[in-house]
Amino acid sequence: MATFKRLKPYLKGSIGLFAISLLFALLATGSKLAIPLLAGRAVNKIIDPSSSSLQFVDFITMMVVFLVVGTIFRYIFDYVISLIGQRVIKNIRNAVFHKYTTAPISYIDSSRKGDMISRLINDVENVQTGLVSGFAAFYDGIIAIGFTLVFMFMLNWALALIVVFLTPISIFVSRFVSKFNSSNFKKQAKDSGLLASFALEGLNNSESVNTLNIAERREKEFDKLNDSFRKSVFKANLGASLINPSTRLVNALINGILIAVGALLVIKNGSLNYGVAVFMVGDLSAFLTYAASYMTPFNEISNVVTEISYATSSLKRIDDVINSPADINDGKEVINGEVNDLKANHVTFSYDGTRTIIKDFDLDIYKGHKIAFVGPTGCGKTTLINILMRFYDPQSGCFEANNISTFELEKRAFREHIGMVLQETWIFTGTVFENIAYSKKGATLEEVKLAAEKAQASSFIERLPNGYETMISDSSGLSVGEKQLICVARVMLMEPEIVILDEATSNIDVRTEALLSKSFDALMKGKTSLVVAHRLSTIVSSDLIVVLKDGEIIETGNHQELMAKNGFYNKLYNSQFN
Amino acid sequence: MAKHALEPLKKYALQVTLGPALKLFEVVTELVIPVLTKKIIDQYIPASDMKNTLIFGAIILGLGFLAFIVTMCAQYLAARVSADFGYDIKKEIFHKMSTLSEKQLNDYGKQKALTLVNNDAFSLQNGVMMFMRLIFRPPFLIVGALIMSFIIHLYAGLIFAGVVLISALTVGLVMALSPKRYAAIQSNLDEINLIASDSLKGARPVRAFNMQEDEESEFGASVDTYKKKSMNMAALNAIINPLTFCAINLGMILIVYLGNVRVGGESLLTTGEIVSLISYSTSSLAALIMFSRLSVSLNKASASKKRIDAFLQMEPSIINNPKGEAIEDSTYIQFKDVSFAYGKGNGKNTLSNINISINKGQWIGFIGGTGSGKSTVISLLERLYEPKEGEILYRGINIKDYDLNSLRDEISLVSQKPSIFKGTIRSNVTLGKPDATEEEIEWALKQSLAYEYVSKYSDFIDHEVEEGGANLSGGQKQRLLIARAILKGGSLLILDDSTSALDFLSDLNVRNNISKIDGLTKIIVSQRAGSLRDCDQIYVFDKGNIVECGKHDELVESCDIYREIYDMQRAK
Repeated sequence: MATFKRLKPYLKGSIGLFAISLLFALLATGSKLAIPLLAGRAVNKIIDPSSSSLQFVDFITMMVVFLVVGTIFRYIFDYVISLIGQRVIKNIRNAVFHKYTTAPISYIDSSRKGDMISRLINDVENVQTGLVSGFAAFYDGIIAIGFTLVFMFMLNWALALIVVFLTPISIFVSRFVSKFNSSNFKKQAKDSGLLASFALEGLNNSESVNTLNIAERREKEFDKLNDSFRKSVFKANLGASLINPSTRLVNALINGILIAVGALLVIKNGSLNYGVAVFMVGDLSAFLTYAASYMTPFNEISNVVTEISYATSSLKRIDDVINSPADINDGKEVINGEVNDLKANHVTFSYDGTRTIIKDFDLDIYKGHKIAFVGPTGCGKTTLINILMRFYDPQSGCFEANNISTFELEKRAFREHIGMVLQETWIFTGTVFENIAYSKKGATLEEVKLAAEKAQASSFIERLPNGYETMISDSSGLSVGEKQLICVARVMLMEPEIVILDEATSNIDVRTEALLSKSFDALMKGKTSLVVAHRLSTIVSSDLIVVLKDGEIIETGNHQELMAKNGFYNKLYNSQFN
Repeated sequence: MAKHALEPLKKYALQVTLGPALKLFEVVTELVIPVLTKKIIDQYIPASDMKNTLIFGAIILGLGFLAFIVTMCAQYLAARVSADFGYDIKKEIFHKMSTLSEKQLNDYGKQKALTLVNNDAFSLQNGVMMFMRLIFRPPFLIVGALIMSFIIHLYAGLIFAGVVLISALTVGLVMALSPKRYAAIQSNLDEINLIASDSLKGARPVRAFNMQEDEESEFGASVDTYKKKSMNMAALNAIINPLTFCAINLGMILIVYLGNVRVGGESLLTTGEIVSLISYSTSSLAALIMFSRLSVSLNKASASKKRIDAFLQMEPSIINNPKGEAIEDSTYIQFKDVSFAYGKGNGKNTLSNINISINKGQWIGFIGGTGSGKSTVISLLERLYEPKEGEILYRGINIKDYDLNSLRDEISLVSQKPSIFKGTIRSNVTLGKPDATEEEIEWALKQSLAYEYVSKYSDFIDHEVEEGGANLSGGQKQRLLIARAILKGGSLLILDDSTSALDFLSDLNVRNNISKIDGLTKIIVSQRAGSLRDCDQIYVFDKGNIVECGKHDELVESCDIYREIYDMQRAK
């Protein structure tokens, strides 16, 4: 039932289809069951022509009609069930992906990408398989059970009662086994995610795996995970495969009992007075056919138990994603016009709650100023940008734009004002054009080319086999510097109001960088910019240089002032000429 | 090494054949039961013989039990073999991944390679299980029913044969038409995979550029296509059920009709015969439906098999083929007229006519513009790629003839791309030297200045590191990587622009520390002329060529490009 609750939101919009499928299932299953009934009657007619007022031919005609009807409706039913299944998994995939694009950065940072992908691909596939085969079996089954019950009671209530009382044993058996087995399926799904993550990590770092010569060791580690997966998959599958033979056994038992009792009733027909006037051999054979089709659904359901178990545990994993905490507290305010005033107001932040990364950070950022952050590795420069962009939220304090706390601002409305180039380059699979145009919807080729020129990227782009139409990806052989230039071109195209450069040019050679800095100057003219760089040449021209150490501001001022102070900045600056 | 996806299955030949044999037994009992039922109905009930009715009833029950036990054994075998096979095939795929070159993996597509482990191996494993557990049942059952109906009556047998033929044709038709459709679905799944992983990797830029909705609509479009293609397949698969239903029931109607035909006052079929024929056809129908469901999973499995086959059959382009011994007193590393291109065919050369000569113990510097080919030289030296022309000598022999493992063991590389694995500081630092002692680890961390921040963790080197080092800053990652390379202890240390996120002071300190390590040959790739000042030899790269080489002072005099870089950095 928990499973159904989880599925419910994705069934929205398919209610009509459900009604249709129910109708067609009734028609198809009804026809399927009517044929043996008519066959039984026809057999009776052969033995005893007085058993029915209808002609033998009438029975045959009716059977043919049901045959045609059954065939057509069966097709529609199967098609509709698949359609429902496809709709549901489409909804699930979109919902999971929506979650991924809106989840807090902290969730993304701390999750294994391989496992996230595995949920989106494998788990959704499992749900689909389970849903389609499970639904079809259940649905079909319940209708068949309903119909056959009616027919059986019509034929002989006493025998029907025996069937009704005995069949629950098989349900009991399969429930017992699958309950016992569900932990195995959970473990199996988890192991599968771990295995995928491990493989993905290796693929993403394949160069290091080679150069460190650790392929063999990675294989051994993989082996351990693989072995654990083998164990869980064996247990889960073995457990699931016990169900079908067990229900079969129960069915065989019921069948035996029915024959014995049925035979007794036929033989003693007439001498027993239990409300059934006539019970002939033909009736018994018809009854046995019904009993068989009554029990088939139980078999069918137990046949797809494996798929359903996979589906339920996968659905649980999908549900975990959907129910993971949402990107918290988006504000409602928007900024009208430009950001005229930006400041940090006593920001204190820690990633893990124990080690403080930013301590009481307070800063006024004047409009149009170029602010540079300098300091040793791990001093909190990138963290500040994470907080400004609201990728992470501080424990206390906040950034303020136009005197409104960024907590109050709608994230996307605030981010619209900012363009950033981060240390870690991001190139997605697509053409060079698409990669640059990412920052500006509807950008023309001319605009993109101009931006690339400004970013000093045009010369290498033009050398690519198909120029701006060359397909590139993170692993398509571009150097880190080239990737950085493409990321820079994005911002050049965007021409944002506030520019953030976090070590944006760290892998670009000095000559290119010198050329690039002119474009940056042009881009940042009159705009507020925040720059993190180690190459101090890029920041000497800043209006304000903020020197950070261990999350605290230790010096501020412009280049001349800081050099005159003869402090940490001076030491840092001179070290580059040593 | 397996060449085919099913090769590992050979080991389980006995189990794989035993499974169907057990299934055969199960089917036989299932076929015998209607015969016994027929006997009861035709003989004992009309004769009011309750005793024999009960005896035969008991036999039916006993057979049921026997079938249960036999089936259990078959199920066990199927679960065991498929799990073991799944393990084997994943192992093969993973092994193949590590033998293929970087270029091959990139050309193949890393996401696609992941799908092999993640998805294809699993569906193939499931296919094997289905195969062992269920595939033999329907044909056995149907053939058995066919034989029995021929025994009962020639006409009944012919009717049955016709029915089976129609059903088999239907299933065959669907199976013939579906692989192409299934492959289309699978390639769409690859696309979904790609969009999702790109988007996850770019979580920050996606949000910063407010592109969440665009990402979702791109993803949504791909999911829509997936749905469309799947429905295409479903429309085809949905034929099986109704057509087999139609065929079987048609058979049933004909049999009933046959029962009514009297030849010389005698019925062609007895009531009992009709009843058992009907029961054969119902069980055949169930078997056929089962078979059609199976065919869906088997199609899936066979598409997966093809993909795995293709992957396993890829020949590693870089093969370890040690032939020669190092020649004493030869130059340590030599590049002789090496040219290289990433693309296939006549693409432009990334490197042209590279000549480099390095003696043991030297400090070597590489400097040059973005994309000038510095890192490519390093990749060639590591034998991640093979040169197009020319040769690379290590200790006098071509690296192609040198033991690949020894070569890579000798080189400690810090690459530009920070490659950090999920685990701890310790597990990451010791990747190149798993048996490193606590002291060695601390020493290495101190050399790279990683100690500065690692020592602040309360759990020190056992501090957890997220996948890709998500909880470390750029500079922290680089220090960790440098510590890893130092600890690895090869005789050649290469720093490929790997101090870019370090401030100059730290950069200087790290270099000073490294210079104190004895007997180390060093190649430093840098954008900073200052970092290369003390090098014995500096190679200046420009657009894939080495334009000049020499010491710092010489280059400042003679090389325009170098002087320009140097001046620019000094001026400000």
